[in-house]
Amino acid sequence: MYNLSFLSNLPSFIPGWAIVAIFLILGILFGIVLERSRFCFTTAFQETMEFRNPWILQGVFLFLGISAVLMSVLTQFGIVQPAIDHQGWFTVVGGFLFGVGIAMCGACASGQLFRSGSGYVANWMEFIGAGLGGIVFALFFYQQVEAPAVAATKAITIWGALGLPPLAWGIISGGLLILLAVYLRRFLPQKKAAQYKEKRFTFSLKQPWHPYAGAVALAVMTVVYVTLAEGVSMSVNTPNTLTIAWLVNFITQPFGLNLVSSPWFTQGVVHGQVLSRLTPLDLNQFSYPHYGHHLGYVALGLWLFIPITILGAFISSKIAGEFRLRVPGKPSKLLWYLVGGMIMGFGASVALGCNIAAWSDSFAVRLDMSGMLFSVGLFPGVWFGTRLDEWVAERIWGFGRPAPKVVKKAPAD
Amino acid sequence: MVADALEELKNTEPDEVFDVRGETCPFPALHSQKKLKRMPVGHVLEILIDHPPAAEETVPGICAENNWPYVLEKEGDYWRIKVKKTSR
Repeated sequence: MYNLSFLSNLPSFIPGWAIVAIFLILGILFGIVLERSRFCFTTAFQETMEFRNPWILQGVFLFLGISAVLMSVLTQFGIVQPAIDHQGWFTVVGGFLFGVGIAMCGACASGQLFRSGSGYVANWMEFIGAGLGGIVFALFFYQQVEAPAVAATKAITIWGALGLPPLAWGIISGGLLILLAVYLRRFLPQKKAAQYKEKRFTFSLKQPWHPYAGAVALAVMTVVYVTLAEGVSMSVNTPNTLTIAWLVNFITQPFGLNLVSSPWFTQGVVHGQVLSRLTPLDLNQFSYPHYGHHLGYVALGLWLFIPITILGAFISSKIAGEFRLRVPGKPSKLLWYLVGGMIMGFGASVALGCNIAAWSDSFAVRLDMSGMLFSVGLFPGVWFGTRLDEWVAERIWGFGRPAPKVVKKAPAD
Repeated sequence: MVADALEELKNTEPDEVFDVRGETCPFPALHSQKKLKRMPVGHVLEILIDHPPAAEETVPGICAENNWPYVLEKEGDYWRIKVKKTSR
């Protein structure tokens, strides 16, 4: 069987680092695609809800649709078996918290990566915050609440519940999503202006891409990633948490708190040795045929895929000449992003995934229920978070008062 | 006709300049929308934005939705959007 065996069972003369390199290259490409098409899910949701502008949302739906059709073909013929997550109340609650967090930061789990790479310092704080939120979850919520709640639920695919073959549901849902993406294009308010120039469908590194171009590239990347990752959906929040936890561990270890062996980070004990998510290469010791001796390198690759995305976005924004270090004018904003990031990271951990793992890949890869449940929490969360944004901007950051930024004459620079 | 009006707007001195540079989604668009709503009809506002999606898509979207003429110009690493609030 191909599933759970291909990469991790490559012959031992192929160095495991080659597997890590594959994911690093994919991560850089992912960063480039996100940055060029400015594919931010928060922007998609917020702009549709606040300004009735589905500019990015049309791309999101096209990405979901194309990917759903392709993945259902692979699932149908047994080439890939997507790993289905459990879903329950925690998906809804986590989705709400996630929505509040991303609205506070104006960028989702994947959006923060390319923003960070293009120089937005506030999103660096979001990335750190998300990791801290994940750690708080791991230490205080996982064992106490999450694990029993997850154990009490089942993983449900929509096609399974409907008694359909995966391909049938993939074509129905994917087809509807593609139609919706095309239909949304009619509602772009900016098209009413005569001088508006719609972005071109291009993959040029020098120009911003049309969201449809980003959608096609992301769909292809998702299919490649999930196939190589042996059915695992693209995860942003877990690698984000691992990256920050790895750094935080240098501080907490001298004080007696070793995250490597704390709950959630540990995945089990094999031959008396604790296997931790923070030391993925230990997994290489699994040598029985089903898992393969390169399993640790696959796990490390899936982790590094996310931080390297920031580098991809940096490269791409540099090539396009759009990179600029952007520090928010008010230092309190950095704290706002840190807190927003923490709520986002905690929420994603509770929901078992972020906007990619719990939401988009649910429609695009697994064809399961989690995306719909996540939506029930997500959209009220985004709405509430945006109101918080407005409230704080009015009262603390001085919008509405004669702000010093409002000047009579344009500055010369 | 439309082109003439836009050319005229381009050369109009703005009544106010609103600087949202340094802000990221959703603030440039949210703030601009509020500012425009509170501004008296007939005024011209110049908005300075350095957040690409807000400058190229969202704020033009807000203007077009209300049928307010606008001019978008790229200046170095930021954009100037001049909007004339022609109606409520």
